[in-house]
Amino acid sequence: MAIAEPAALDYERAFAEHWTDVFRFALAWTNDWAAAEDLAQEAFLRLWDHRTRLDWARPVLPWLLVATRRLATDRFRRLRRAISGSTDEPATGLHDELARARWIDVRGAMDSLSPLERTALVMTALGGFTYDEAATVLGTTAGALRAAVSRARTKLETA
Amino acid sequence: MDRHPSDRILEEWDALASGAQRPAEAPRRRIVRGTFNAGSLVPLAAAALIVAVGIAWLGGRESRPNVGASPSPSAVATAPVVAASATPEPASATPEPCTMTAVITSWEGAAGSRIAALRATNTGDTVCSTAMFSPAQLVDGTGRVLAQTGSELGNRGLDIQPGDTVRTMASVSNVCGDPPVAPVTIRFEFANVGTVTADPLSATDATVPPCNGPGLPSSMSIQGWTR
Repeated sequence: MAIAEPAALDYERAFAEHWTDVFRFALAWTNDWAAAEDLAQEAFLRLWDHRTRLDWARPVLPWLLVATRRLATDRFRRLRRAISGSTDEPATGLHDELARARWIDVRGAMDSLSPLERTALVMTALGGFTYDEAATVLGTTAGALRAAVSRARTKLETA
Repeated sequence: MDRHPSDRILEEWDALASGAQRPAEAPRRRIVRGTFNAGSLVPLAAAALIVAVGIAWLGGRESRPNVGASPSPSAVATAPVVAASATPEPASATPEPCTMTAVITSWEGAAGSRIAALRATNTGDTVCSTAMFSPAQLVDGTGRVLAQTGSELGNRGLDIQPGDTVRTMASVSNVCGDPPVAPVTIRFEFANVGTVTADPLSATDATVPPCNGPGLPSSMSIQGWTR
């Protein structure tokens, strides 16, 4: 009988508990449903690669979000998407037409925001992150993050 | 009471995003095995021999920094959704993943083969502890695998500091079948880092080695990364 390594069990638990968090973060950053699913998948693959070197006593979500942000800003990812001509086809999450239409509207409104503005707003307004915590994940300062949230609100008010 | 448009948009975003479906299984890295036929064993054996000689010549494995090795059942924050309590520690306490990028700097033809010069850079802020030899695939613009190395290329360690660049060369021969779609490039499986697709030489490059025999397998070999 195969015995699962402890880190693999930690990994499975992290996937069960944090996949949605990672997907939402990626969706906020990219504003692209299919890309967000792709990024969440890749972020967890990175976690899998690092599973034996992580201190699992610490919260793993910050690590995952930083990994997701870095993957999202990978210039090769942008190049490949540009070459392949991303169409933002909703994948597994948006089956019905109504949800798809709603997403197109929301995406259009959020499209006027920069990735930092969108993610900062979602993290602080919906995710319960403090400005300091969100700034840490996003690699910026609390002041810059606060300004980004303010700009995001202003843009959405006139969207 | 009137709601702000921004609140309405956020509520809608939240409702839709909450409906995202988590994949049935957690993803796990699987090194791609070859789709070669039996004849591919010859070039694979040759590549393995080259690698074995390289490993013997280059010496022992380098040590890696201990990022943290105290697995515990209390590993993961218990909050089921993104919550403030999930990030109680400062940035310096969060082990950040390293980030590698790669680029093909040249392609040269040589006696029925094409040889690519490649450069990879640690573009992140942390050390990339990877392996000297990275399994690689020649892929076209659609992701079709045109040739690939063996998947087991040894485990000699290689630490790449932030900003550091390493180089290697890959040789490919006998690519048959349908013409590839541009751009043709090479992707690597960096141990402990992940899959990295090299920036192609150009967005229109679809040149591949000549097909020396449709019944023969493609072959690909790669040297170890060096500074």
